[in-house]
Amino acid sequence: MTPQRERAPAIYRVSQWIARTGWRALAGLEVRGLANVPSTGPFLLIANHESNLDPILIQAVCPRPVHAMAKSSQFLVPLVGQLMKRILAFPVRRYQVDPYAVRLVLRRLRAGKGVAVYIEGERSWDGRLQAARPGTVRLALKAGVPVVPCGIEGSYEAWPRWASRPQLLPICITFGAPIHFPQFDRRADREAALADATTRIMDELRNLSTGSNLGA
Amino acid sequence: MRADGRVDRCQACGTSYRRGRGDQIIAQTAGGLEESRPAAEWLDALEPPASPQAPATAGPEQVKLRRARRDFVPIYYRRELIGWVERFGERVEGTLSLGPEGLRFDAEAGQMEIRLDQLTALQPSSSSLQLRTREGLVVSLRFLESSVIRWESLLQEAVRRSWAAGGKGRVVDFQPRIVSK
Repeated sequence: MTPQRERAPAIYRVSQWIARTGWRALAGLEVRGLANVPSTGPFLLIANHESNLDPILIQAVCPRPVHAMAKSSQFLVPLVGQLMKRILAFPVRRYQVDPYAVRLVLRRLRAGKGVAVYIEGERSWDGRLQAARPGTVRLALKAGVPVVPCGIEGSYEAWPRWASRPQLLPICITFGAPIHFPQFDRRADREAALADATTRIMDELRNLSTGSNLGA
Repeated sequence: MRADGRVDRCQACGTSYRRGRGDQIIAQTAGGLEESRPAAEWLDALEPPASPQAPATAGPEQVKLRRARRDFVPIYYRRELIGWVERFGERVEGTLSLGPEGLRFDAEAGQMEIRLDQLTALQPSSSSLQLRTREGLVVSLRFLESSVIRWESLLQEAVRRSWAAGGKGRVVDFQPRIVSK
């Protein structure tokens, strides 16, 4: 059976186009490694998180629709909540383990879709890569789908967490080669593989989020 | 730096801080001297807001507190349930104090106490700090004159002490739940 390509909602495609074209024209947007995003089948896109711009621009440049976890409180904001759903975001409660959000990620992956997760759990305050949230790595080991590391550079400078407004500065997004972890069904096996998998993903993100010539 | 973008000024020495290009923060002394550095460098140059030697008390600090209600709202998209969202109540303005045993919030309408050994999660969310307790209470604190990083750091240190003193081991993670080893 030929896997069907997912067609994103119209508003997703429009916002993707506006973000991509707009940022490229006004500030500069460099995209690398697009061929590393699998053209079919499930994938877990794991990115660093520097700014509010990250989810918008990653979706804007990724050749396939990506579903993404987003802070639950946004879904009750009028209009924003409706938009979030249409850009394929789903809510996660971050002050507890949210089993429904985890199940939904696995369901999306089983359906052959792409899901984006920010391994640090929240935006960096100072632009430096933070520690990985072990839950994200456990999820990757449970899912057993290709993990596409995605490094974003420059978005912190464009819109740091402590600033109220973005500045139009160049951003580089790099998709790394997929990492293939085995699928670990047993919890004990996932725990045994956790440290190595975390190191591997974080090393990739460190390389991918510092390799551009934005500062040159 | 203030989340609303206004220039922040040190009440003790009059130095003002504002955003420069990119991640640069420009400090200007009352005498007019300017220095610009990336935020990470400023952060490294500052005293850590909390350390094992730091006093176990802080505040009172002006905050706005919101409490999550117990009823969760189901979120659907194209008839599929995609998750559950908590609904927060009205913001209540008051003062927050950290003592050796826990947090105390005082407002005109009343007071609330949260014991450190009852906390199950502690994490910043945008410019607020979210706390969850063993009883399922979730509160969101917005600091009006202080920073979320400072209070996150102070509370993390206080929880570390409390858990160690209570024989619950060394805290290794604060979100999505506090975990010790």
